[in-house]
Amino acid sequence: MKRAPLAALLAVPAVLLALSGCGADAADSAASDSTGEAAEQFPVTIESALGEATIEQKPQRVVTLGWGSADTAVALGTTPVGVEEVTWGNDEHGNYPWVSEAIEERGDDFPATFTGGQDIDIDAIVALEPDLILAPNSGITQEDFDILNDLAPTVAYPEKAWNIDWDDHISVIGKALGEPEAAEEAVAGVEQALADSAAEHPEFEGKTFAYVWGGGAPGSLVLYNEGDARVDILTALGMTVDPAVKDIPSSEGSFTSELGLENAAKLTDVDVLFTWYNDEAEQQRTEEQRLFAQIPAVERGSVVRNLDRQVGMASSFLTPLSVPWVLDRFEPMIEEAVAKVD
Amino acid sequence: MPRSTSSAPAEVPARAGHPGAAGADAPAAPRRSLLSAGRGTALLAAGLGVLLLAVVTSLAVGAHQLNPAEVAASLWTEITGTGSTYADDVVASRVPRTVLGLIAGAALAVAGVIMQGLTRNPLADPGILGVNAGAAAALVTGMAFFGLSATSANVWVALPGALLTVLVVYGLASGRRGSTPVRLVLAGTVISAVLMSFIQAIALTRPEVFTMYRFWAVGSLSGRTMEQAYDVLPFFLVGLAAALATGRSLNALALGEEAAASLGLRPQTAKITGALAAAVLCASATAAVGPIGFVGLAVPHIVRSFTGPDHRWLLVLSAVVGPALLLFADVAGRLVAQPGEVLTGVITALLGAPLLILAVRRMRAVA
Repeated sequence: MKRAPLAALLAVPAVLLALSGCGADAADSAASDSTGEAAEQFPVTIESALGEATIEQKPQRVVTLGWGSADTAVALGTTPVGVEEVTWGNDEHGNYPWVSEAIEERGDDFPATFTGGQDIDIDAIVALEPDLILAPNSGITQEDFDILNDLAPTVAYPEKAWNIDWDDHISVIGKALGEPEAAEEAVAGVEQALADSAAEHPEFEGKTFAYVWGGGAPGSLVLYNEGDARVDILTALGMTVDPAVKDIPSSEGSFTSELGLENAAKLTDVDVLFTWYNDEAEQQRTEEQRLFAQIPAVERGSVVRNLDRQVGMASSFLTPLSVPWVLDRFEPMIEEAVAKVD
Repeated sequence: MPRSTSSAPAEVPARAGHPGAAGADAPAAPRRSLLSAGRGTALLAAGLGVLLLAVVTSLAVGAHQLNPAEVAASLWTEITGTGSTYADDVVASRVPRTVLGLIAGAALAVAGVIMQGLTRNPLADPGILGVNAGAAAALVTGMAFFGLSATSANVWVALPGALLTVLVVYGLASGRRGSTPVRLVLAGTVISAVLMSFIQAIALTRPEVFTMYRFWAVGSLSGRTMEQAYDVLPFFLVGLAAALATGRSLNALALGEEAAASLGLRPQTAKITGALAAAVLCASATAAVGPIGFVGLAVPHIVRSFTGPDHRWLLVLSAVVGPALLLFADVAGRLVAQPGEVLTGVITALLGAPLLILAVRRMRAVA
């Protein structure tokens, strides 16, 4: 899935409740305590691969860059004033639908959007007068960081661009917003939602899968590996990465590996093949290749072919808002494919 | 290397081109003697042998290793439509890429000969007349504004785009006194730059168009289908026939336009025929497999080091050596980055560059 921008909003106990399904009391208390608690949290210092951010007091004007930070900020009670515009899988607000829904539920204004990606609109960010910039799951460069961090404390990724464990992602945003306990609740809520879903689907347990994309280089597949949220969400549902896929080393600096279709035999034992496409043309191009079509999972139809960009994005990062949203839509797709496994 | 061994003297002594032309830069002004028929036939036989080897290698070698007997068996099951094993699928998947390699390799190499001959610029290649950019721009326009998506429709859009570009470049380059090689190259470069900016603009504003464009634009024999080969085949054959017929004219043009005219040739007609043939060839190759560099540039130089400057032999042998080089490059791409695959276009660049340097050095040593 492409790196796309995000939008953000507020979040509330209702959201946490909806997601975790585990109790209004805990969520309520987390939110109502937060103001008093938050004062004690500051100043906080957050390390990242690109440098240090020191946040002196509870942020009021938050700007987010990259994937899933807007979601999490909203879920933890802070609607950003500005978000990187979503251009892939976006709704009419230039945002993800699960984020927009949460904002509407709270009755907040939608955040301003600005151009992100490789050419970040710094002027737009300056105009938003941020007091915190959240980019822990993004591709910002050292140069971007230096500019942004001069403007407002900026939280970047811990080691590599576009790479942070989903629970760390929530925790670090909780820390930056002075809401560590709400963040813990949110992580528990996500885990619970995934565990509930796994419990409802004992047939997922132990099914092996590979998650591939065929729209890159002709005749090649991109394989997503463990550590990538697309894969992590499926293992959380009880499925297992196919051992043959696990053995293929990741490409340098990424959580993907390359598989030439001449080596498609490595996918012979995969129970369920997950794939996504930008559009029907890409699907056609990929599937008309004979070596792709002969993969046993494809032949018997135990394939999840995702052409819904919003489902694609919601399953590409795990946040307190995206997980419950995507489970409702993703589960039936997986059920259908798993039913076709011999 | 057989080079100046033939006893036949050059038919016409080299002369300076007309004033202001880049005649002095002619890559191979025929100061060397021309190839004899016997030696030429021997070279052609050797070339065909190499090509046959390349085809067999392309069908037999890759990530999934097969011996020739298995390949033959799989090909047979493919022909009879009974294929079912994984080996059958592997061989079947190598058939379209081999066929496309034959077409694209020959097209690019022959187009390279013509462009180097026409422009009298030894570094001319299919990119230089704006052909690649024209094909790409037409494709992107089709995808952005006319809802084009099916892969096999590419050639119908890319070809007119490429042809139109060549005509525009030619029109720009043609002043009152006809086009000069330098003006052709400049016009091609300018038009390419304009078209590439256009593509960039579309790519930035319509990212979904770019995902399709990118897939097409990477230059690879894999992931393509036989339909793409069938689509371009008629254009390729017409272009090849026209190209092979230009050998004599190119020989004459190598002497400069005035000399060519004095031999009874109409330079303008020869140039237009040649440019159109080259454009059709490049566009067929580019539409089918994406832009592949260095084949059009390197193969004519390699072949020239065997045949000398006679364009008639140069064209025929390039049509044989081009596909061999491309197929070997494609096989190398399947092998070097297991379990992934390296794009054919990347390998041709790696392979073509040193070969080119070698060829240029040899030429200089002789000259």
